[in-house]
Amino acid sequence: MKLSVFSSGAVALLICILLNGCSAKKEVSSVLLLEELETAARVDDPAKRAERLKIFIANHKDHPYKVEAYRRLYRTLLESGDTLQANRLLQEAIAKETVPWEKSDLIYERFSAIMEADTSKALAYADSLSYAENFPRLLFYIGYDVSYATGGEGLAERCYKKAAELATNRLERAQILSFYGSMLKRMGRRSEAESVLAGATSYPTGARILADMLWEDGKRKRALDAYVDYVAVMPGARKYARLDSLYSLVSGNTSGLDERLVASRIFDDGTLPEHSFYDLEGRRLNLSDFRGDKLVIYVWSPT
Amino acid sequence: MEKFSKLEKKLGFKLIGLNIKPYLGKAKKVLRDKGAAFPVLMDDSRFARNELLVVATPTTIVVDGKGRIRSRFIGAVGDFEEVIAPILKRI
Repeated sequence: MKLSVFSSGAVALLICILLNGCSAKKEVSSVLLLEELETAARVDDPAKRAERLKIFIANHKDHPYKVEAYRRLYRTLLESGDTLQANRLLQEAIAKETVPWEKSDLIYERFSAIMEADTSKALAYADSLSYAENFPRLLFYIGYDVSYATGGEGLAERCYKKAAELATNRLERAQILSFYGSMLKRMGRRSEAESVLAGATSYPTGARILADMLWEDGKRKRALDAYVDYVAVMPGARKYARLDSLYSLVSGNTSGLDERLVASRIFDDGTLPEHSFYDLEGRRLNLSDFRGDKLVIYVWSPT
Repeated sequence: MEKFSKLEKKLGFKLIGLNIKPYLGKAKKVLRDKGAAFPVLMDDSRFARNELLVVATPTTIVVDGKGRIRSRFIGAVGDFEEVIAPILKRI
């Protein structure tokens, strides 16, 4: 009996050690993985780099930088002239991918490479995507890219419209409408542009283009409101937009402008969700570590 | 960036950087070159996009002491102290 208790305890301990050991192995910092990926991607010789990246992909199946690894391998294969293998690799990755945004990123990577090589092929591919795909971000990016290609405006319009309909993030929708409205303005469809841009003033580009249009059309009061929206969300543009002089021109002086800007910049957009991150050195940090402090979160990309 | 960290104590807030791109070496270099001394986190799960509604960078988000999101700027903030100080005072 004692032996049995001891044995079951020892087994439990062993299981515990094994489980902890396994979970410790699973908890590989994504920053370390990214470091490994970047080391592989820094190899000068494209053939050797491709081999290193293939090994990385084979060794690490499920992690946040999977798409980036495929992207780098795809670009490396293209660089070494192996277009066939590059395309096969990406098509397989797209077919296998089940996470929507990761699939969307891979498709966009393929589209971008085609666009760089052959615009007419890219337009045909984009045309099929505009019907088949339902990722707002993908459709938005494609819409933007084809909007500058000869004969691409109609396709861009379809992509922008569908992307705006599908977007659930209100700022993303405003961003999409900003670029859609900008294209309509470029095409001389001003009244349609004005109507589209009216739904885009929470994104700075949309607010600025609308403000410029209204000002050009002599609708100064509405233009001023749009310039205030623009500078409210993008304060660094105050001088560029000549907001103070325009405000003074329309309202007689700048009294109340600062207060108006501050008031429109303060709102309540819900609770900051708890989340855990790795810092650049691979240490874990939680947003809850900062609870009680006023926080400024600077979201950026080192590109 | 360096302006931000200098103002932390003066205005009474904590600054966090959130890098949304999968570039570690570049991020470290930028921070080293600019002498920035605040925590920079790697967003490896699209938290910024899905939870903070970030659609372009840079985006600056202000959170009050109760953990509520109270302001958001897209693009250049310009004179950080002039813009942020009145907001921090009121939240």
